[in-house]
Amino acid sequence: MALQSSIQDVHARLGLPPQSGRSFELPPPPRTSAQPSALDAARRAYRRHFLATLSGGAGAGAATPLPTPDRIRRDPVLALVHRITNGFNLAEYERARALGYEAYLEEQLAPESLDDSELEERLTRYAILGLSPKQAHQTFENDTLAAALQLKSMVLTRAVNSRRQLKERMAEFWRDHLNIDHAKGIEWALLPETELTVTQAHALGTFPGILSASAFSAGMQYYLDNWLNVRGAAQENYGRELLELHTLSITGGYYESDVKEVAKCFTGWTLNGRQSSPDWLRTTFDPSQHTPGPKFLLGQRVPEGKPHASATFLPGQGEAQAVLDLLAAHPSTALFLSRKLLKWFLTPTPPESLVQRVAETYQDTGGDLRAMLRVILARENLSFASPVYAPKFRRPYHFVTTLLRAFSGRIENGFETMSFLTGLGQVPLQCAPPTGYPDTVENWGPLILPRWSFSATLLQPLFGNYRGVRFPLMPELEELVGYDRGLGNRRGVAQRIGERAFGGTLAPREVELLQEYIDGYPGDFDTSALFDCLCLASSMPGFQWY
Amino acid sequence: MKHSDTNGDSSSKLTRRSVLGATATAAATSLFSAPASASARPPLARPVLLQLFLRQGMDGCSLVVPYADPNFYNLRPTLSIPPPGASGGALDLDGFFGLAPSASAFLTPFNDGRLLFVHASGSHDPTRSHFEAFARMEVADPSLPLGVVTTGWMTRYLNAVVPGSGALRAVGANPLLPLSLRGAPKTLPIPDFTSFSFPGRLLTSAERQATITAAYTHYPAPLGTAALDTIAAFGLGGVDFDAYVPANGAVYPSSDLGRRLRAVAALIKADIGIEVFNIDVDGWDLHANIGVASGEMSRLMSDLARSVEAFYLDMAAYLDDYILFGLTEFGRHMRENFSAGFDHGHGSCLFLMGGGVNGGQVRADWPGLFLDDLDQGDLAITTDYRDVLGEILKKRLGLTDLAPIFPFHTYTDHGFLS
Repeated sequence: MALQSSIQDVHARLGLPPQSGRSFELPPPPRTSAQPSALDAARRAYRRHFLATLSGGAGAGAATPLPTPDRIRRDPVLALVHRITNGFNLAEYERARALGYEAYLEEQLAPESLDDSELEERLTRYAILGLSPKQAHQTFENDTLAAALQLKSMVLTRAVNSRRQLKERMAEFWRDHLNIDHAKGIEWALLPETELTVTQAHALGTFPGILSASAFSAGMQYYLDNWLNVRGAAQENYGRELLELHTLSITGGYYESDVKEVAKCFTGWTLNGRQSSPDWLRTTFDPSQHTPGPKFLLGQRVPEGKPHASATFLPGQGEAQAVLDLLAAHPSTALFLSRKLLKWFLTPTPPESLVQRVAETYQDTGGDLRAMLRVILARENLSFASPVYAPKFRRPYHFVTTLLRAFSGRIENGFETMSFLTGLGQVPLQCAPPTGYPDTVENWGPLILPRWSFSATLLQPLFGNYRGVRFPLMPELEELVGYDRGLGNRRGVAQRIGERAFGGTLAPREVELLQEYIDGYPGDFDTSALFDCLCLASSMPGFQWY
Repeated sequence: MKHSDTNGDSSSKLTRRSVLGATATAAATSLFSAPASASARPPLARPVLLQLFLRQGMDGCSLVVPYADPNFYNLRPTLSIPPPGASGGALDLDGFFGLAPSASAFLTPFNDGRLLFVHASGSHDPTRSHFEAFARMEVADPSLPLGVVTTGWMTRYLNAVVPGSGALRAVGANPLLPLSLRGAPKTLPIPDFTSFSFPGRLLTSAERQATITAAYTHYPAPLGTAALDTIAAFGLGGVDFDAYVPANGAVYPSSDLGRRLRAVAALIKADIGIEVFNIDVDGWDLHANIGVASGEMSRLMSDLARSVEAFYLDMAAYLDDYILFGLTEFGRHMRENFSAGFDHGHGSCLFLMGGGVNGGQVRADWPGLFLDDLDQGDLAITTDYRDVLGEILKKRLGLTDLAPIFPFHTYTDHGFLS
């Protein structure tokens, strides 16, 4: 009986120092600076009057109906822009309208046809871009915080500023579906490459393609511990989540024994531990650690398969890919993925008939994501009478990117934005459980205050002290919302904010309330007042949906 | 082998720290006469329910080590805390179980007889899936995922009692509310207590707030209720969290858990009517490199124990105003894997603390660790977590009928509380 607790540190096998806890805490978001200003008598009087009006009037009418984006429902192009971008932007919408529904969708389904060189150029400011695991580790070993911030900033920059918006919406989908937390261990050093080879390369490719890229990526190998999965002592973490979260789903018809068999098939896949190699910390296959013998998955024998990405065939090397092929071809996977994509783009409750149609497309095309998206995003599904189109609640991340895009913000760095996303509970690449972030109003709806705080900090005159994002100058903003300070005309400002800045998301009642606020504002309706209105509008319930 | 679960000698372990002896006595008398220096208000009608949910599978056999089990060290030859007396050995609790040294701060409430461990406990979920296990434990409907119950068990508790008059009835101290509180009335997630006020420039604050209030009035749940509950709760009773000074020199760790427990203590003392708190404590899914003696697990256990100890000391004069418990969705596999960690398991160890807890002992109908004793290679569950929670609800929170809270469960009284 060995009583001595000799703690092995598995990182030694990679030539790494022992791990010590998470060290990626960002500082909390800055408190909103609310300088007490002198209240002049007029404003005090106005306040009293205003509050009296509201307390008498509010709530007197009938219950506000569920979000009814009528303005959006009448205009399929507008609906499409809301659903396939990281947030409505007037110029983007006008471009889409000029192209027409189908042409805009096809353009977005062919991201390579869109020149994104300006974005690519801006991404080069991040030193971590394109680094191999070895390079990333060597460069940022002593400043992992900088590595993490650069990674997250790149995600944010792409989301807000890429012209390939549908691709970035899909990238976000995959970051959840094939979730990797950058900070469980050394994922921060693996993700620069994994983000490119999985998310960026396959966002609009095929499901078997992205599944395989993910399985053999260093990021996933590490995050779900498969790199430690060896002969005689299978490590089942990846196998379990592969079945439950990536392919069949929990109700997909597999047993605990299947988890263990999948784990055996993946034995021997690990990370390169030779520090001298340029492939250090990249995925590799060690045949001596592969469990020999037949394996069974879902009642059938796993074929030996073909070697993966390797010219030389090593015994057992093809089994992992064979497992992925079996799982990707399974009807449960087709249904699970189809339902999840429909929820992502159309409605929280997709009808089974449509799920079946998308799943059939999956089966007919070998999991071609563009073909599936053409079925999901067909014009009739987003048109006025569509029974399958329902309001979707913005997740915190989408709420933030939408506000930044509404005012054509250009991301310079993600520092302050990440602080807010921490308070909002949704920092990219930082979801600890392998489920990825949830996507329902039940989960995110209760956390409303950090949204109001983000709006209030971002939407101060001339975007006040908000750091890391460059915004257009005031005249452009005034043109956006159709407000002319020179004429001092307040009429219709709320309507224009609702339509031109926020894409018709505000309900008529909310536009009314906003206009009442504008009309009652004492003295000059100045820049501060205008920004108050933008803050108010984005804090309304309507804007929380798209 | 069965391990006797009662330890009649726990009283001899009292008063490890003199300050505790004093404050515990003060607390005991506070029901009848508030001591001048302590609680400035009468005790609460119902104690506050405080759940620490240790997410992703806390290994109970690393926290409370069954060192005297004859097969324990055979199953875990390298990744276990050695028995008491050995270098880095467990701190003996009762001759059979020992506490991980990094969790030694638990001894403060334990030796005062206020903290109880219940080992080989948990939820009978066969899947070993985190997400299934969360759902079964928190919704507490054993027929999931096909069941009909969708609310959390804490939600049903809140719906079963007469509500207080507070603006908030329950708080989850993380960005997302746990399933336990899904659909609960007057319930908000508050990940950051220190800036819980209406943002933006002061000059127009009242008008903007009025407009927002009007926009969310009659708006459907969960958004409408969340917004109005938020507005109603602004300021959180005026508690100044930055200036809050814990009692008895208690020092909370600067971790998320420490900060959150500190805020919870301040809120319970302020008595603004919050009846239930949940704090999610993440990071226990240690498939690899678990580090029970000096690594990640050790750090997590230390943070947990030091946070709970600080709360105990800080709340000494309010012992009867809360009932704290920590649980996890499952324990970890009994055998080590080659990755220096443990995969998903079954039974684990939970703990409870507060007034009325028969503490200072480890309660367990110990199932043993020989092959036939294990449940698919994992520690078997001999105490259903619903019995533990049920006893809290019955004996401390005044519930007579547990059926709405834990449907399909036949409750057994184990005497965990008096």
